[in-house]
Amino acid sequence: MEPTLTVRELTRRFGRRTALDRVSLEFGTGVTGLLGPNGAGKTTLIRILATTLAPDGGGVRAFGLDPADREQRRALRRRLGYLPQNPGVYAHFTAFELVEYVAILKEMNDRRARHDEVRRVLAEVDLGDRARTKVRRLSGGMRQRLALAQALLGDPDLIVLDEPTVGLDPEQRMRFRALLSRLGESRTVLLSTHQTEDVTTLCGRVVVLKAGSVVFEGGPGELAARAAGRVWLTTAPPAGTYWRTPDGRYRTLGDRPPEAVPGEPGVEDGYLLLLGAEGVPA
Amino acid sequence: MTLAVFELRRMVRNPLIWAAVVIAVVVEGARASQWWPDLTFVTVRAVTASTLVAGAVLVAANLAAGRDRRGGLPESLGALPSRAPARTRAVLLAAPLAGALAAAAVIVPLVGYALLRGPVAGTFDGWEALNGVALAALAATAGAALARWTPWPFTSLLVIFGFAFLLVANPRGEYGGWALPWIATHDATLGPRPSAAHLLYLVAVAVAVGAVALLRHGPRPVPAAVAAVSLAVAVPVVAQAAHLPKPAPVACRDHDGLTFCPRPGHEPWVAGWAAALRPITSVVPPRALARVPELRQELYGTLPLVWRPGVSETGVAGAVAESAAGLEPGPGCGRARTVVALWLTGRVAALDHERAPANWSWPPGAAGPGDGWHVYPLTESGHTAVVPGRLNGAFYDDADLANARALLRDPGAADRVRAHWTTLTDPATTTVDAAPLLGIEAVTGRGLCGEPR
Repeated sequence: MEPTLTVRELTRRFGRRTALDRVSLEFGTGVTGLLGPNGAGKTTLIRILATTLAPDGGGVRAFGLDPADREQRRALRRRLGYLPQNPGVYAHFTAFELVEYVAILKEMNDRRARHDEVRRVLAEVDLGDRARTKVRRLSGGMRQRLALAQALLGDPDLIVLDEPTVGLDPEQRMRFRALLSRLGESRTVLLSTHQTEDVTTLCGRVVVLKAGSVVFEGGPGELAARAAGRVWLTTAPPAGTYWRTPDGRYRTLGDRPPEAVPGEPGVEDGYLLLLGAEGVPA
Repeated sequence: MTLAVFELRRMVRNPLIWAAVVIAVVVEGARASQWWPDLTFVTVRAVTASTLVAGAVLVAANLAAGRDRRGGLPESLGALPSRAPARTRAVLLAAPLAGALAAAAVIVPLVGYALLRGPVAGTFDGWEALNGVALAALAATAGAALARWTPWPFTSLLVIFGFAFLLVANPRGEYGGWALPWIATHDATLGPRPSAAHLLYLVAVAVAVGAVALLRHGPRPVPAAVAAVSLAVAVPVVAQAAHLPKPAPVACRDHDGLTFCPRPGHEPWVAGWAAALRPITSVVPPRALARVPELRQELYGTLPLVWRPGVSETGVAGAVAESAAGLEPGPGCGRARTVVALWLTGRVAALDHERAPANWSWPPGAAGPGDGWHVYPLTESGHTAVVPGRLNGAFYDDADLANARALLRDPGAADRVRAHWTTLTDPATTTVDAAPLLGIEAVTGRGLCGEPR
């Protein structure tokens, strides 16, 4: 993998709390999933990569550009698409106006080309027929797609998405995955999420953060493989944390309970075991 | 520039601004329709009406400039190449232009409406009209500056309320003078307004405020220099504007036997005044009309500065009739010439028959009402000092009023008055003596009126 984005010894503190602790990573073309519990430092890392937050230590380089330099940061922003965790909208704008406003701030100055691009991204997120609708009349899921549309403006080389599938219905989530997988063929896409299903279906690579540090880096298969031999199915409720499956059995992680048979490990199993979630032995 | 065009497009579609335009035009247009069109006043009033638009533009510009801090978008906008100073500059370009267009949308129809009505007096001062345009532009830059320097949108409302209070409580600019954005009341006796100088002042302040808005993004030499130069222009200009030039001299002209002295630019109204007074001048002999002093258009003059048809005639008619009939200040009850003067006045305007307002107070030294008679306001023009029960200086009572009304009902009265003018206006002729000449049955009062108590 040819790295397009490199993170070296990245550190960021908020008061006494260290949100990121000397994180070093490399990202290349394709979709990378960023997993981690709340407070792990995902959003902090995402914000630094999106150039909206400056690190306290270490550095970032994307496409040879150093965002610490003002002009290079500006150049990087021209190649960046960013969907923050809580994307705002202007309720009194129409969908078209909102995306056009962002397009103008993205320095798309040619009116015809800009309008074509706005229409394109609205169609990408299935909002083409809602272009003239006021944002206040859009549902929560539509607003999320609208926010995603603005991140896709200008066909960016680097796409940074913080929990983009929140609020999307299954159909829209499927469309979103199709879109991202297509983008990931030629661009660097970073996806912070709590949805391991998104990671399983979309990401060629997974990074797991815990308490500001990288605890896993590899493919989803590798993460799932970590749970191999530690996923069990029983007919009676076992000790520890478990959940009931549709066929009436009980699924649990960790050491083998009595009379248990092995289950098929998944990314989520590997992730839970990796973090040592409550009730799950690390 | 693209962003400025986007902001301009949004601003010119802003419903708040257009609501202000419609309200200003409709309210001021309805008000103006009650008066003869005087371009001097119309322009001042139109610009005063446009201050409503300036307020709306201030709010709209404030919301536009503060947009990048609202709606949860700062995080998204932070990752875009265009930076906050560019957004401020865009609003500073678009909002004043939109404000200027909106102000023009108020001023042009109101001035045009005045031109379509006749007779048009006064002079159109283009600088004055541009003051309204500049005021809206200043409001726009102020809105942007407030958005950049204060985090609360309601500060724009506080500023608007502050200036609205200034306009209402200080309409003549007693406090602040021409350093105020606008002086709503025009005093024609003080000469022309310093409109060109004040326009330069408003533009300079608008530029300075815009530069201050940009300085929020850091101490940069260009905005700092622009602000300093603009203020250096504004301060001496407004100091100079305090020295108003003297008004132009009044030129008098004769019409229908009367001498009218209109203010400069109000000559077109002379024919209208003469027409309003024709029911008097057509009856009164020329030698009697010669006794009527010059009718001067001035503050507290016989001719009011502004003319409201249906209201302003009465005060002027009373003054002309009193002088023509030879009435002198003091008791006039029971005299034929008092009835003639009231009759003449009644030929021009209705003789109001209402009791004097309860809060009426007699001017110091003036005669008060005596026992046994009643006082009635002849008129309440609002622009000519009219004392209830007095035809200018002379007192009358309800008996005189009844006799005048009887005379007004008689279609042959004009010929009889014309034929017996000398006798009827003789100070010694009582109403009882003149009753056969007037062709009425005289109603008598209960004695002299207006005697000091």
